[in-house]
Amino acid sequence: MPTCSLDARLPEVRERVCAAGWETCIVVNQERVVLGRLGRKTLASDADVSAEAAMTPGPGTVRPSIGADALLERMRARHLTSFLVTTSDGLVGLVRRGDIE
Amino acid sequence: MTRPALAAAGILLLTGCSGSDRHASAPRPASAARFAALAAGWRTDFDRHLVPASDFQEGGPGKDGIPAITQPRFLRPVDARFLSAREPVIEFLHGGDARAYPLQILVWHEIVDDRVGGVPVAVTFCPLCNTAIAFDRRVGGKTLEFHVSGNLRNSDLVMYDTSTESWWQQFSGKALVGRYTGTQLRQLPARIVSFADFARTHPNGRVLSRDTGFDRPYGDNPYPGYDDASSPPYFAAAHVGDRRLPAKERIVLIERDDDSVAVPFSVLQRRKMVEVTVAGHVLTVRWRPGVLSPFGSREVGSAQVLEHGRPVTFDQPFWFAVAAFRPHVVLIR
Repeated sequence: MPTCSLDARLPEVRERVCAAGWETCIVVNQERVVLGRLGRKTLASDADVSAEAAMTPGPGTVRPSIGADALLERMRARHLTSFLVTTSDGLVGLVRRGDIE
Repeated sequence: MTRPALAAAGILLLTGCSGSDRHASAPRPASAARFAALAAGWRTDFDRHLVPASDFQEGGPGKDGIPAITQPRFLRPVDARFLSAREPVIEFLHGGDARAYPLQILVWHEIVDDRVGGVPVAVTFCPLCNTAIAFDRRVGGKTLEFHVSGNLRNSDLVMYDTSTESWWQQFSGKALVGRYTGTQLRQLPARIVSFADFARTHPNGRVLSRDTGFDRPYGDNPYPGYDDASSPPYFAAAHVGDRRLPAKERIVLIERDDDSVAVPFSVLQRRKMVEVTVAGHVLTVRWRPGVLSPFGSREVGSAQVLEHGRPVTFDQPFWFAVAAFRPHVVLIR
Protein backbone atom coordinates (compact mmCIF):
# COMPACT_ATOMS: atom_id res chain seq x y z
CA MET A 1 0.00 0.00 0.00
CA PRO A 2 1.15 3.58 -0.56
CA THR A 3 3.40 5.19 2.01
CA CYS A 4 4.98 8.59 2.41
CA SER A 5 7.27 10.44 4.78
CA LEU A 6 6.33 13.07 7.36
CA ASP A 7 7.67 15.82 5.14
CA ALA A 8 5.88 14.79 1.94
CA ARG A 9 3.48 17.40 0.52
CA LEU A 10 -0.16 16.45 0.35
CA PRO A 11 -0.70 17.30 -3.37
CA GLU A 12 2.20 15.05 -4.40
CA VAL A 13 0.94 12.26 -2.15
CA ARG A 14 -2.62 12.63 -3.44
CA GLU A 15 -1.50 12.29 -7.06
CA ARG A 16 0.62 9.24 -6.37
CA VAL A 17 -2.01 7.49 -4.23
CA CYS A 18 -4.80 8.09 -6.74
CA ALA A 19 -2.62 6.86 -9.61
CA ALA A 20 -2.04 3.65 -7.70
CA GLY A 21 -5.78 3.15 -7.20
CA TRP A 22 -5.77 3.64 -3.40
CA GLU A 23 -7.70 6.00 -1.15
CA THR A 24 -5.42 6.09 1.84
CA CYS A 25 -1.72 6.50 2.49
CA ILE A 26 0.35 5.47 5.49
CA VAL A 27 2.96 7.84 6.88
CA VAL A 28 6.15 6.02 7.89
CA ASN A 29 9.71 6.90 8.81
CA GLN A 30 12.83 5.59 7.07
CA GLU A 31 12.56 2.31 8.98
CA ARG A 32 8.93 1.96 7.92
CA VAL A 33 7.59 2.42 11.45
CA VAL A 34 4.01 3.62 11.15
CA LEU A 35 3.55 7.23 12.27
CA GLY A 36 0.16 8.19 10.90
CA ARG A 37 -2.51 7.73 8.29
CA LEU A 38 -3.88 9.96 5.52
CA GLY A 39 -7.48 8.97 5.01
CA ARG A 40 -9.82 9.44 2.06
CA LYS A 41 -11.22 12.79 3.23
CA THR A 42 -7.78 14.19 3.97
CA LEU A 43 -6.44 13.18 0.58
CA ALA A 44 -9.49 14.66 -1.13
CA SER A 45 -8.83 18.12 0.29
CA ASP A 46 -7.01 20.82 -1.67
CA ALA A 47 -4.71 21.73 1.19
CA ASP A 48 -1.03 22.10 0.37
CA VAL A 49 0.40 20.97 3.69
CA SER A 50 2.84 18.35 4.89
CA ALA A 51 1.78 14.80 5.60
CA GLU A 52 2.69 15.44 9.23
CA ALA A 53 0.24 18.32 9.47
CA ALA A 54 -2.57 16.42 7.75
CA MET A 55 -2.24 12.90 9.13
CA THR A 56 -4.18 11.17 11.85
CA PRO A 57 -1.33 10.12 14.18
CA GLY A 58 -0.87 6.70 15.71
CA PRO A 59 -3.34 4.49 13.85
CA GLY A 60 -4.03 1.11 15.40
CA THR A 61 -1.79 -1.74 14.28
CA VAL A 62 -1.66 -5.49 14.70
CA ARG A 63 1.18 -8.00 14.54
CA PRO A 64 0.93 -10.95 12.13
CA SER A 65 0.85 -13.34 15.09
CA ILE A 66 -2.65 -12.25 16.11
CA GLY A 67 -5.29 -14.90 15.38
CA ALA A 68 -8.12 -14.23 12.94
CA ASP A 69 -10.75 -14.56 15.66
CA ALA A 70 -9.01 -12.09 17.94
CA LEU A 71 -8.54 -9.70 15.06
CA LEU A 72 -12.18 -9.89 14.05
CA GLU A 73 -13.23 -9.28 17.64
CA ARG A 74 -10.98 -6.25 17.80
CA MET A 75 -12.38 -4.88 14.52
CA ARG A 76 -15.97 -5.40 15.62
CA ALA A 77 -15.37 -3.84 19.02
CA ARG A 78 -13.96 -0.71 17.44
CA HIS A 79 -16.16 -0.65 14.34
CA LEU A 80 -13.13 -0.81 12.07
CA THR A 81 -12.97 -2.33 8.61
CA SER A 82 -9.21 -2.75 8.40
CA PHE A 83 -6.00 -2.85 10.41
CA LEU A 84 -2.40 -2.15 9.46
CA VAL A 85 -0.09 -5.12 9.94
CA THR A 86 3.37 -4.35 11.25
CA THR A 87 6.43 -6.38 12.26
CA SER A 88 9.92 -5.62 13.46
CA ASP A 89 10.62 -4.78 9.80
CA GLY A 90 7.92 -2.12 9.77
CA LEU A 91 4.68 -1.89 7.83
CA VAL A 92 3.99 -5.10 5.91
CA GLY A 93 0.38 -4.71 4.80
CA LEU A 94 -3.27 -4.13 5.44
CA VAL A 95 -5.82 -6.71 6.55
CA ARG A 96 -9.45 -6.04 5.66
CA ARG A 97 -12.40 -7.27 7.67
CA GLY A 98 -13.98 -8.74 4.55
CA ASP A 99 -10.89 -10.86 3.94
CA ILE A 100 -11.19 -12.71 7.24
CA GLU A 101 -14.96 -12.82 7.82
CA MET B 1 -16.01 -1.35 34.86
CA THR B 2 -12.65 -0.05 33.67
CA ARG B 3 -10.23 1.92 35.78
CA PRO B 4 -11.00 5.18 33.94
CA ALA B 5 -14.69 4.45 34.35
CA LEU B 6 -14.08 4.02 38.03
CA ALA B 7 -12.41 7.39 38.05
CA ALA B 8 -15.43 8.98 36.46
CA ALA B 9 -17.71 7.30 38.93
CA GLY B 10 -15.65 8.66 41.80
CA ILE B 11 -15.34 5.32 43.57
CA LEU B 12 -13.99 5.85 47.03
CA LEU B 13 -11.10 4.01 48.54
CA LEU B 14 -11.45 0.88 50.56
CA THR B 15 -9.09 -0.50 53.14
CA GLY B 16 -8.02 -3.98 54.00
CA CYS B 17 -4.80 -4.95 52.20
CA SER B 18 -1.91 -6.11 54.27
CA GLY B 19 1.20 -4.05 53.83
CA SER B 20 4.78 -4.99 53.09
CA ASP B 21 5.63 -8.39 51.62
CA ARG B 22 9.23 -7.93 52.65
CA HIS B 23 8.93 -10.02 55.79
CA ALA B 24 6.00 -12.16 54.70
CA SER B 25 5.78 -15.63 56.10
CA ALA B 26 6.52 -18.86 54.27
CA PRO B 27 3.95 -20.28 51.81
CA ARG B 28 0.74 -21.45 53.54
CA PRO B 29 -0.89 -24.21 51.47
CA ALA B 30 -3.78 -24.53 53.90
CA SER B 31 -5.18 -21.18 52.86
CA ALA B 32 -4.96 -21.95 49.12
CA ALA B 33 -8.69 -22.55 49.01
CA ARG B 34 -9.23 -18.85 49.58
CA PHE B 35 -7.77 -18.23 46.14
CA ALA B 36 -10.54 -20.25 44.50
CA ALA B 37 -12.59 -17.16 43.85
CA LEU B 38 -9.69 -15.62 41.92
CA ALA B 39 -8.57 -18.79 40.14
CA ALA B 40 -10.89 -18.90 37.11
CA GLY B 41 -8.88 -18.55 33.92
CA TRP B 42 -5.56 -19.02 35.67
CA ARG B 43 -3.12 -21.95 35.72
CA THR B 44 -1.25 -20.44 38.65
CA ASP B 45 -0.08 -22.72 41.48
CA PHE B 46 -2.23 -21.11 44.17
CA ASP B 47 -0.88 -23.50 46.81
CA ARG B 48 2.17 -21.28 46.96
CA HIS B 49 1.67 -17.74 48.17
CA LEU B 50 3.21 -15.20 50.50
CA VAL B 51 0.14 -13.06 51.15
CA PRO B 52 -3.55 -13.87 51.62
CA ALA B 53 -6.02 -13.92 48.76
CA SER B 54 -7.89 -11.07 50.42
CA ASP B 55 -4.97 -8.78 49.57
CA PHE B 56 -5.87 -8.84 45.89
CA GLN B 57 -8.57 -6.81 44.24
CA GLU B 58 -9.77 -6.85 40.65
CA GLY B 59 -8.85 -3.62 38.90
CA GLY B 60 -11.58 -3.79 36.27
CA PRO B 61 -10.18 -4.72 32.85
CA GLY B 62 -9.34 -8.33 33.80
CA LYS B 63 -6.43 -10.56 32.75
CA ASP B 64 -4.65 -8.96 29.76
CA GLY B 65 -7.45 -6.39 29.51
CA ILE B 66 -4.56 -3.96 29.69
CA PRO B 67 -2.30 -5.53 27.06
CA ALA B 68 1.45 -5.57 27.64
CA ILE B 69 3.58 -4.54 24.66
CA THR B 70 5.67 -7.56 23.75
CA GLN B 71 6.91 -6.53 20.31
CA PRO B 72 7.85 -2.88 20.74
CA ARG B 73 8.89 -0.69 17.80
CA PHE B 74 11.11 2.33 18.20
CA LEU B 75 11.82 5.68 16.58
CA ARG B 76 14.71 8.08 16.63
CA PRO B 77 13.84 11.09 18.82
CA VAL B 78 13.66 13.29 15.72
CA ASP B 79 10.77 11.17 14.41
CA ALA B 80 8.87 11.07 17.72
CA ARG B 81 6.92 14.20 16.88
CA PHE B 82 3.87 13.04 18.81
CA LEU B 83 5.71 14.00 22.00
CA SER B 84 5.92 17.54 23.33
CA ALA B 85 9.14 18.75 24.97
CA ARG B 86 8.00 18.39 28.59
CA GLU B 87 6.13 15.11 28.24
CA PRO B 88 7.27 12.43 30.68
CA VAL B 89 9.14 9.37 29.43
CA ILE B 90 10.83 6.57 31.31
CA GLU B 91 14.53 6.77 30.51
CA PHE B 92 16.32 3.43 30.56
CA LEU B 93 19.99 3.09 29.72
CA HIS B 94 21.81 -0.21 29.43
CA GLY B 95 24.83 -1.53 27.54
CA GLY B 96 25.20 1.64 25.51
CA ASP B 97 21.56 1.53 24.46
CA ALA B 98 19.32 4.47 25.47
CA ARG B 99 15.55 4.08 25.33
CA ALA B 100 12.58 6.25 26.18
CA TYR B 101 9.14 4.87 26.98
CA PRO B 102 6.52 7.64 26.81
CA LEU B 103 4.04 7.54 29.67
CA GLN B 104 1.26 8.53 27.22
CA ILE B 105 1.73 4.98 25.83
CA LEU B 106 2.54 3.23 29.12
CA VAL B 107 -0.70 4.39 30.78
CA TRP B 108 -2.52 2.13 28.28
CA HIS B 109 -0.19 -0.88 28.53
CA GLU B 110 1.72 -0.69 31.85
CA ILE B 111 4.37 -3.23 30.75
CA VAL B 112 6.81 -3.28 27.83
CA ASP B 113 8.74 -6.54 27.44
CA ASP B 114 11.87 -5.42 25.66
CA ARG B 115 15.50 -6.30 25.09
CA VAL B 116 17.95 -3.47 25.73
CA GLY B 117 21.71 -3.70 25.37
CA GLY B 118 21.29 -7.45 25.00
CA VAL B 119 19.40 -7.81 28.28
CA PRO B 120 15.71 -8.83 28.42
CA VAL B 121 13.92 -6.21 30.50
CA ALA B 122 10.40 -5.33 31.55
CA VAL B 123 9.82 -1.59 31.71
CA THR B 124 6.74 -1.06 33.85
CA PHE B 125 4.50 1.80 34.91
CA CYS B 126 1.60 1.59 37.32
CA PRO B 127 -0.51 4.74 36.80
CA LEU B 128 -2.38 4.16 40.04
CA CYS B 129 0.82 4.31 42.15
CA ASN B 130 2.99 6.35 39.75
CA THR B 131 5.64 3.63 39.97
CA ALA B 132 8.03 3.46 36.99
CA ILE B 133 10.30 0.45 37.44
CA ALA B 134 12.54 -1.57 35.12
CA PHE B 135 13.31 -5.22 35.83
CA ASP B 136 15.70 -7.80 34.42
CA ARG B 137 13.38 -10.53 33.07
CA ARG B 138 15.86 -13.35 33.66
CA VAL B 139 15.06 -15.72 36.51
CA GLY B 140 17.01 -18.88 37.20
CA GLY B 141 18.32 -19.17 33.64
CA LYS B 142 14.91 -18.51 32.06
CA THR B 143 13.70 -15.36 30.37
CA LEU B 144 10.17 -14.50 31.45
CA GLU B 145 7.55 -12.44 29.65
CA PHE B 146 5.38 -10.28 31.88
CA HIS B 147 1.75 -9.33 31.33
CA VAL B 148 -0.89 -7.43 33.30
CA SER B 149 -2.94 -9.69 35.60
CA GLY B 150 -5.81 -7.25 36.04
CA ASN B 151 -5.43 -7.59 39.79
CA LEU B 152 -4.14 -5.00 42.20
CA ARG B 153 -2.59 -5.15 45.63
CA ASN B 154 -2.40 -1.92 47.60
CA SER B 155 -3.65 -0.32 44.37
CA ASP B 156 -0.42 -1.43 42.66
CA LEU B 157 -0.05 -3.40 39.43
CA VAL B 158 0.18 -7.16 39.86
CA MET B 159 2.07 -8.64 36.91
CA TYR B 160 2.14 -12.26 35.85
CA ASP B 161 4.69 -14.25 33.91
CA THR B 162 3.39 -16.22 30.93
CA SER B 163 5.54 -19.24 31.80
CA THR B 164 4.05 -20.19 35.18
CA GLU B 165 1.42 -17.47 35.63
CA SER B 166 2.92 -16.58 38.98
CA TRP B 167 1.77 -13.19 40.29
CA TRP B 168 4.42 -10.55 40.82
CA GLN B 169 4.08 -7.28 42.73
CA GLN B 170 5.36 -4.44 40.58
CA PHE B 171 6.25 -2.24 43.57
CA SER B 172 8.71 -4.76 44.98
CA GLY B 173 9.47 -7.04 42.01
CA LYS B 174 8.68 -10.05 44.17
CA ALA B 175 6.53 -13.03 43.22
CA LEU B 176 3.70 -13.35 45.75
CA VAL B 177 1.69 -16.24 44.31
CA GLY B 178 2.54 -19.27 42.18
CA ARG B 179 5.55 -21.36 41.37
CA TYR B 180 7.96 -18.42 41.63
CA THR B 181 6.65 -17.36 45.05
CA GLY B 182 9.41 -15.56 46.97
CA THR B 183 11.55 -14.96 43.88
CA GLN B 184 12.86 -11.44 43.54
CA LEU B 185 13.36 -9.72 40.18
CA ARG B 186 16.46 -7.58 39.81
CA GLN B 187 15.53 -3.92 39.55
CA LEU B 188 17.50 -1.82 37.09
CA PRO B 189 17.98 1.97 37.20
CA ALA B 190 15.27 3.87 35.34
CA ARG B 191 13.73 7.28 35.87
CA ILE B 192 11.12 9.65 34.53
CA VAL B 193 12.53 12.55 32.53
CA SER B 194 11.16 14.97 29.95
CA PHE B 195 11.23 13.93 26.31
CA ALA B 196 13.33 17.04 25.57
CA ASP B 197 15.96 16.00 28.12
CA PHE B 198 16.10 12.50 26.67
CA ALA B 199 16.36 13.74 23.08
CA ARG B 200 19.07 16.24 23.97
CA THR B 201 21.14 13.71 25.92
CA HIS B 202 20.55 10.77 23.57
CA PRO B 203 19.92 12.09 20.03
CA ASN B 204 20.59 8.60 18.66
CA GLY B 205 18.52 6.90 21.34
CA ARG B 206 15.28 5.05 20.66
CA VAL B 207 11.76 6.13 21.59
CA LEU B 208 8.90 3.66 21.90
CA SER B 209 6.53 4.32 19.00
CA ARG B 210 2.74 4.31 18.89
CA ASP B 211 3.00 1.34 16.53
CA THR B 212 2.36 -1.04 19.40
CA GLY B 213 0.28 -3.72 17.72
CA PHE B 214 -2.80 -2.30 19.47
CA ASP B 215 -5.42 0.37 18.96
CA ARG B 216 -5.48 2.85 21.80
CA PRO B 217 -6.14 6.61 21.91
CA TYR B 218 -2.56 7.53 22.76
CA GLY B 219 -2.34 11.09 23.97
CA ASP B 220 -5.71 10.89 25.70
CA ASN B 221 -5.49 10.72 29.46
CA PRO B 222 -7.55 7.88 30.97
CA TYR B 223 -6.93 9.16 34.51
CA PRO B 224 -7.72 12.91 34.42
CA GLY B 225 -6.90 14.63 37.67
CA TYR B 226 -5.82 11.40 39.32
CA ASP B 227 -2.69 12.92 40.84
CA ASP B 228 -4.47 15.67 42.74
CA ALA B 229 -2.22 15.43 45.81
CA SER B 230 -4.90 15.17 48.45
CA SER B 231 -7.28 12.85 46.57
CA PRO B 232 -7.46 9.24 47.75
CA PRO B 233 -6.44 6.24 45.63
CA TYR B 234 -9.27 4.54 43.71
CA PHE B 235 -8.57 1.13 45.19
CA ALA B 236 -7.76 -0.46 48.53
CA ALA B 237 -4.41 0.21 50.17
CA ALA B 238 -3.02 -0.54 53.61
CA HIS B 239 -2.42 2.37 56.00
CA VAL B 240 -4.41 4.63 53.72
CA GLY B 241 -5.17 6.82 56.72
CA ASP B 242 -1.48 7.73 57.09
CA ARG B 243 -1.53 11.52 57.30
CA ARG B 244 2.19 12.24 57.32
CA LEU B 245 1.82 13.48 53.72
CA PRO B 246 -1.02 13.94 51.22
CA ALA B 247 -1.94 10.60 49.64
CA LYS B 248 -0.59 11.46 46.21
CA GLU B 249 2.43 13.52 47.06
CA ARG B 250 5.24 12.27 44.82
CA ILE B 251 8.10 10.64 46.69
CA VAL B 252 11.65 9.63 45.84
CA LEU B 253 11.90 6.21 47.44
CA ILE B 254 15.34 4.70 47.86
CA GLU B 255 15.83 1.17 49.17
CA ARG B 256 18.99 -0.63 50.11
CA ASP B 257 18.99 -3.92 51.98
CA ASP B 258 16.27 -3.42 54.61
CA ASP B 259 16.52 0.38 54.72
CA SER B 260 14.02 2.67 53.01
CA VAL B 261 14.25 6.44 52.78
CA ALA B 262 11.58 8.71 51.30
CA VAL B 263 12.19 12.23 50.07
CA PRO B 264 9.02 14.15 49.12
CA PHE B 265 9.08 16.07 45.85
CA SER B 266 7.88 19.12 47.80
CA VAL B 267 11.13 19.02 49.79
CA LEU B 268 13.19 18.56 46.62
CA GLN B 269 11.42 21.40 44.84
CA ARG B 270 12.44 23.65 47.71
CA ARG B 271 15.99 22.40 48.25
CA LYS B 272 16.83 21.11 44.73
CA MET B 273 19.38 18.69 46.22
CA VAL B 274 19.28 16.48 49.31
CA GLU B 275 21.90 14.13 50.68
CA VAL B 276 20.66 10.96 52.38
CA THR B 277 22.28 7.90 53.91
CA VAL B 278 20.66 4.56 53.12
CA ALA B 279 22.14 1.38 54.59
CA GLY B 280 25.44 3.21 55.03
CA HIS B 281 25.52 4.53 51.45
CA VAL B 282 25.66 8.30 51.01
CA LEU B 283 23.42 9.23 48.11
CA THR B 284 22.59 12.52 46.41
CA VAL B 285 19.00 13.17 45.38
CA ARG B 286 18.52 15.89 42.76
CA TRP B 287 15.41 17.51 41.34
CA ARG B 288 14.94 19.68 38.27
CA PRO B 289 11.88 21.26 36.67
CA GLY B 290 10.64 20.72 33.12
CA VAL B 291 8.56 17.53 33.31
CA LEU B 292 4.77 17.37 33.19
CA SER B 293 2.51 14.98 35.04
CA PRO B 294 1.25 12.06 32.91
CA PHE B 295 -2.21 12.82 34.31
CA GLY B 296 -2.49 16.41 33.11
CA SER B 297 -0.51 19.47 32.22
CA ARG B 298 0.83 20.16 35.71
CA GLU B 299 4.57 20.64 36.17
CA VAL B 300 6.03 18.02 38.53
CA GLY B 301 9.72 17.92 37.62
CA SER B 302 12.03 14.93 37.70
CA ALA B 303 14.39 13.36 40.21
CA GLN B 304 17.67 11.53 40.02
CA VAL B 305 19.60 9.61 42.67
CA LEU B 306 23.38 9.32 42.42
CA GLU B 307 26.11 7.55 44.36
CA HIS B 308 29.58 8.86 43.57
CA GLY B 309 28.07 10.41 40.46
CA ARG B 310 26.58 7.15 39.18
CA PRO B 311 22.81 6.63 38.90
CA VAL B 312 21.28 4.13 41.30
CA THR B 313 17.87 2.50 41.43
CA PHE B 314 15.00 4.37 43.01
CA ASP B 315 11.32 4.90 42.43
CA GLN B 316 8.97 7.87 42.61
CA PRO B 317 5.61 6.56 43.79
CA PHE B 318 2.75 8.37 45.40
CA TRP B 319 2.92 8.60 49.18
CA PHE B 320 -0.03 6.27 49.80
CA ALA B 321 1.88 3.43 48.08
CA VAL B 322 4.96 4.05 50.24
CA ALA B 323 2.79 4.11 53.35
CA ALA B 324 1.19 0.84 52.27
CA PHE B 325 4.30 -1.10 51.32
CA ARG B 326 6.95 0.57 53.50
CA PRO B 327 5.12 1.97 56.53
CA HIS B 328 8.35 2.27 58.53
CA VAL B 329 10.17 4.30 55.89
CA VAL B 330 12.43 7.12 57.07
CA LEU B 331 10.78 10.29 55.84
CA ILE B 332 13.02 13.26 55.05
CA ARG B 333 11.33 16.59 55.77
